[in-house]
Amino acid sequence: MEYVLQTDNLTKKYRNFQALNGLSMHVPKGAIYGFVGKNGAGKTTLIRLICGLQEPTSGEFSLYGIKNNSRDIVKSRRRMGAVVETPAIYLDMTAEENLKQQYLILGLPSYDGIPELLKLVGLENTGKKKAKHFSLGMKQRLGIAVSLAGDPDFLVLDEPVNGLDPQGIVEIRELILKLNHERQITVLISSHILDELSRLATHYGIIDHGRMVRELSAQELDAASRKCVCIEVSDTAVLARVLDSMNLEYRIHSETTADIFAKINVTQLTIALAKENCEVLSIQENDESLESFFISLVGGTKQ
Amino acid sequence: MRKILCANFYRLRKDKFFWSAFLSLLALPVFISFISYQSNLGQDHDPIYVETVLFNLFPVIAFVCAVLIVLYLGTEFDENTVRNKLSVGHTRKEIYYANYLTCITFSLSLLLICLLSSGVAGYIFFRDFLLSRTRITFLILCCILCMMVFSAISVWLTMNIHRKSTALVATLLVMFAIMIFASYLEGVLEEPEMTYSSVTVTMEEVELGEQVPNPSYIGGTARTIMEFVFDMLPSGQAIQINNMNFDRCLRWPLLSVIMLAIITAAGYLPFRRSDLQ
Repeated sequence: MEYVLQTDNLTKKYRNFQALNGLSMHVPKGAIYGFVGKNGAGKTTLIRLICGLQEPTSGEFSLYGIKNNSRDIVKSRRRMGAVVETPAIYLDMTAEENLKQQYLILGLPSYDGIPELLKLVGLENTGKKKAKHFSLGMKQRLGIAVSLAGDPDFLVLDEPVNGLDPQGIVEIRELILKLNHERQITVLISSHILDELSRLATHYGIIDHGRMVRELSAQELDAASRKCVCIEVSDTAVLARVLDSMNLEYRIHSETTADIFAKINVTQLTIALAKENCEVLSIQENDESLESFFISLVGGTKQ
Repeated sequence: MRKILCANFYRLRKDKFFWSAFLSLLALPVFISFISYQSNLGQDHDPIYVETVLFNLFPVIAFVCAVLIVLYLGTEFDENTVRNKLSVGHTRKEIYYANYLTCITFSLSLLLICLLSSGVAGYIFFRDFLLSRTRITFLILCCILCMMVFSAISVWLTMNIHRKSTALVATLLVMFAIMIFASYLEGVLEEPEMTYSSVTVTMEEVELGEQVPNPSYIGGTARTIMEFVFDMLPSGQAIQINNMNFDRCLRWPLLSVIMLAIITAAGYLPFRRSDLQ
């Protein structure tokens, strides 16, 4: 498999605090890589290292196969765009001026691509409005537009939906999917909003205390997760008897509700319960995969 | 580095503080010359020369530029836009030196516009020159080099403090500290070698006692060192330029170049290794 980013035993220490502790990760080309971890787990530190904002204490990483201690790392960084924590934009400039500024930094010969870029992120009608008057979502989208100015193959987004309203979250999600599907941009997204991440990611890396706990694809996560069916019946005592006879794992919550941890045949179960005069009032499949998986790996309580 | 310079100049063109200072420094010498001319009319004051007007505002420009540089460069760190340069592959060396060159251009354009405005206003109102053209040209060169040192101090502090408000306070403190230190040195160095044992002032006359050595006068090696430090400090040069005291001006350019090299190295080396957010 071809990797855009690989880290090997990467360590970063700030005085007495070990932010990264021998982190090894692999971001496949074309993936949307969800980088999951608690606050302070080391997600932003890793992003700062790969962006060149900070130097690792030990270990190494490679971008497009070029190692961080090579002089050519600057060339591979040119293929990359990043939004680290808050969007890096000049608040006293308009969206267009911010993009012109980035075009000049990149040494691009003309500003022809700016209208298309503004349209892509939905900021084409902002005119002379300064970025300081933008909403958080607009600033975030402008930050992404700035990072896309160099037409990167690899986009790094650190907590892109933090603080956004539901509409803003949907807009950013659609933009990321569009960039990945239409432009084949590999995306690394760090987040602790697991529900949101599970709608996007094709691969996951779960980090805790500066270490990679587990890397897996969305398919592997799916296979590893327990399926859970929430069922409401007229009598859970009858339900328990039936489930025992079917040899299925379950948990009773009340006299009428229970969870079944298996992929069930609904027709068979309903017929079996009907024979015992037990009615099925509602049934619902819960996909608690990423959240449960994350908690089972790093501990903590489910909110 | 050329790309970063282009981007920096694009932002400078849109910087309202820069243009406000530019227009103020264009108008201020004209206003000051006019006031000086009015107050001198028909009175028996010492003559005012064009050079007096020309170099009068130099310490003020140095302070203004130091503050404006912090406001301009500090934005890169406050709004985190320095990341946009690093994350697309520009090196820290390119960023530091491009920012430094931009700030030098920034402060020299303010200095030159102020000198030009002062020169024209001074010539219109006072006409008389005290120094030769060669001497004036040399002193303008000294002002330029001294201004580059002031700019280097601001760039050094802003690029290493990473927060605009803190960098602004630090720059002002450093500027005041070197100004006060230079004023102290000036006071010590201006002490006469001999003084009078007594001075008696009556209604008719001032009676001076016999001449005795001044205990506050510093001579020998200590004086040489103090003069060297006074000339090396950009604030020392600025005070001497402002006072039209050009006794040791021949060594100023060399000392400014040395200071420039020291401050630039002192600024770049920690920036190269520093952790950015």
